[in-house]
Amino acid sequence: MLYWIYVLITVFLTVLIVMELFTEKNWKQQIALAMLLLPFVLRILQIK
Amino acid sequence: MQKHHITAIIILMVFGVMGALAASDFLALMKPDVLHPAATLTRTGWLSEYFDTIKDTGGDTRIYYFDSGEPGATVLLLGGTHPNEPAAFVAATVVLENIKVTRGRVLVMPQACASGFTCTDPFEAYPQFYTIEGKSGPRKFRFGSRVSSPLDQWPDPLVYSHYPSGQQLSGFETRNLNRSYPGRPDGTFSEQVAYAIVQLIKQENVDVAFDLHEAAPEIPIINAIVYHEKCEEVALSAVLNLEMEGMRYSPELSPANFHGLSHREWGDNTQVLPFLMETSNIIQGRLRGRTNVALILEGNSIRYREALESGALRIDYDPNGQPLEMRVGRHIQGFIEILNAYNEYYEDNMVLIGNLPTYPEIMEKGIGHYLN
Repeated sequence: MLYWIYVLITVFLTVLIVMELFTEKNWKQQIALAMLLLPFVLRILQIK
Repeated sequence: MQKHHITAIIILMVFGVMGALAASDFLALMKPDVLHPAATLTRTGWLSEYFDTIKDTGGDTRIYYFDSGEPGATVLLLGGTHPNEPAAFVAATVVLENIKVTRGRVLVMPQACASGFTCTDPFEAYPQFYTIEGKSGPRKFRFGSRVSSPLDQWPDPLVYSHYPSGQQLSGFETRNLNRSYPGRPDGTFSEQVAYAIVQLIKQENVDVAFDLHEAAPEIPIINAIVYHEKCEEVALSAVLNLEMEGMRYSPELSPANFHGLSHREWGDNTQVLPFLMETSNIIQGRLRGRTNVALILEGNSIRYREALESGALRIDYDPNGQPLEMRVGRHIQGFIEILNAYNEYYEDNMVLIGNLPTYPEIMEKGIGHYLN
């Protein structure tokens, strides 16, 4: 159960970051958001 | 499509490639190390045979059985309790790839904490692999983490309370196999693996058990044999024999109130005579500097040498370093001499082993000469 709550939180944050990435107009900020996105995606996939 | 949408897609694609490369690197650690047991191997089993809850989990690990068919003592040798201590794993591998047992049985578990071999410790910059040239070509081994992977056990508590003593340690230690003994069947992942190992010791009637380790040069128990009080005579006799061979080992009595460790809990909870051996592993040291494969294999750090020359270093440090050959050789020589000492005290239940390289032989020919 705890695992699925963790995955849900991570997916939720990932979606928020992706939405922010597409609304952000400054490309430098977009890079920062993409960097932030990486660990979340890897955690959802249970890779790292 | 607006301009910032196009940049978002491009950036996502670039980071997608980077993420895929990183993922592939991480997933490479999931591939098991290939070991080539000696021809005298009787059978291969799994730890889950002693506690099936860990079957098909990251905690299950292979056990190699060498049974002479002659009555005698049963010996258990554990390597890889802490996968970032490579001499322990390599020494167990050299044993399982060479040993010949003529009386009694020897069980080898080279990767006791299988889960820890699938990741490295955060913020340590450890390499993921190291390679030793073996008889049949290069042998690539994983260099893992001190503790189980967070993918197998998560989250860590703020404070780890050991079962059943209630001893409190840092939360990180909850994933440390050698703080989890005797374990419990309904406990955490690490407690379940610890429980399975204790069940193995009980069900196989193991008489003598070894847990091989390494530690940072600044840790006081390096180059030591830690023993439970019930096997003091055997330990001291072995240390004396090693001294006569020109090898210094510090005999350390297992502290009665330091719980969760193999040398304490195996001895308290089972019939076995437990021994834990340590060597000096520079890659775990705080002064090590650049952290790379050379540090694992050569065991030599410029930073430690500089500290020694400056007079600031207050520990016993060999400026020539402690290469992997030396550390593996010490473990194997210690293993041989403890069993020799055991045989002196338990003549009616001896274990006789052969074909293992001695410390001088490993130092002369290298580890690769003894890897199939």
